[in-house]
Amino acid sequence: MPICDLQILAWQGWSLQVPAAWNPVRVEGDADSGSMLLADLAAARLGIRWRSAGRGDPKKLVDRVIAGEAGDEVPAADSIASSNSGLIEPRLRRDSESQREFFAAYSARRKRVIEIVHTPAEGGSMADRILPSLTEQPAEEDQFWSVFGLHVHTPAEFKLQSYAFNAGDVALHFRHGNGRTIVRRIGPAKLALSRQPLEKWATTLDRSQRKLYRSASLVGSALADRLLESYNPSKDGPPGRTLQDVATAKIPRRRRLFWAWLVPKQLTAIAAVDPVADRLIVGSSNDPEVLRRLIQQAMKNDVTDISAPTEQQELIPA
Amino acid sequence: MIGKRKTPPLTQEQLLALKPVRLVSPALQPRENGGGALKVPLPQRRWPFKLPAGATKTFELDAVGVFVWNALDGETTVQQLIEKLAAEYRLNLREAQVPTLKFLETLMRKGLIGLPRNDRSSNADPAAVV
Repeated sequence: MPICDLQILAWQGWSLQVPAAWNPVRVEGDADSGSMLLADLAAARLGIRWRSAGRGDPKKLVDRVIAGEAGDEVPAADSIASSNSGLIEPRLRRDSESQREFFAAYSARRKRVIEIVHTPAEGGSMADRILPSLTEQPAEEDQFWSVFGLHVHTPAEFKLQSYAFNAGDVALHFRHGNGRTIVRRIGPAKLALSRQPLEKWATTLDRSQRKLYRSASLVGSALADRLLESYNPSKDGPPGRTLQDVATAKIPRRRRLFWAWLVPKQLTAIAAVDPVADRLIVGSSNDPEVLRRLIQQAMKNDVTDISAPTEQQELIPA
Repeated sequence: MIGKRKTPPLTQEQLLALKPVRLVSPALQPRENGGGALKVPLPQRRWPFKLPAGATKTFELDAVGVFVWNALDGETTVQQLIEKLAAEYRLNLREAQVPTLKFLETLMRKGLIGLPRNDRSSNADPAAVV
């Protein structure tokens, strides 16, 4: 399968390279336990489940998980997970009748068990093309998130609070201490901008924030300047961006909440147009620098361009 | 047997292989925002609900709706429609699938398109639509 038909999927600490036609259709849980179901247009193809294992012998934990699965053990399982994947005790079973494959391994980095069930469409094995890319990210390092074309690296203390996967509108809501950060990817940008101007996208808060913050004022912008300086579209892409492509806003907390020290005093919001992907990237956070970094990353369409100080980089296909 | 025989539900693969056909052929009037308006003549009713001669109903489509409507030629399958939309707007397949199926469902409910089943003859009457 050519590399262009693959995409990186990263969620709650794990990352995996899957065919581009496979997309999440059901997501549940948090970093401790959860599951994701991937499907193409026709049927479900792959299910991944993770759950905290606590203390115990990793081999016994994996054995217990895989014991109830039908099929024969594939002896080459050890070579499946690459050395930097953070996974130990990998086990793979394949049912020769249904061709269904079941993989389980223990993540030493996050102390949890990862299980993957794969239903091959045309006899392709996940051992060849999917499992070698499976990686667990250390919990104390920056976390990589990649879903529906939205790629960001968040600081380790960021916890995913909620998400919204709507057609053409993908949003991730993170919580960090008392702060909140939201990153959205909306597309196509032309359609989104025909509904309301960029400034309006920057100053529109979601419902949960609207009751906490006043209407925003657009600011001119050192922040936008710095965002533009650091943004470098592909060489073949459109020429340099202008300030019309970026809108930033400062959103103060409502006066009546002067006593609410848990609610950050001010939010910064950025809306930027990504002309290469024809997407609108919108974000808000109480930490302008983190927000600027996340927006930059979300505007880079090629995952390989994202620079982050983690060994996660090695997993991303060249 | 009393009552209508139930049509067996379609699998996802069968649904994707269906070829939607237009049941009406109104002219699409383009709008400035890239969308368009479909003016569909209303069927005449009996007295006392009789409509004025030439009564029409207008359906407003946005740019994506116009793209899908124009692609409904009776030969394009639902899957091809989804792939065309994904390519046109650089969408993920799933991002294209959800609105396309929803839009086709709306068009069917409004009586603008039909989805003839493949196991029947291609020139079946409109009553044969799902």
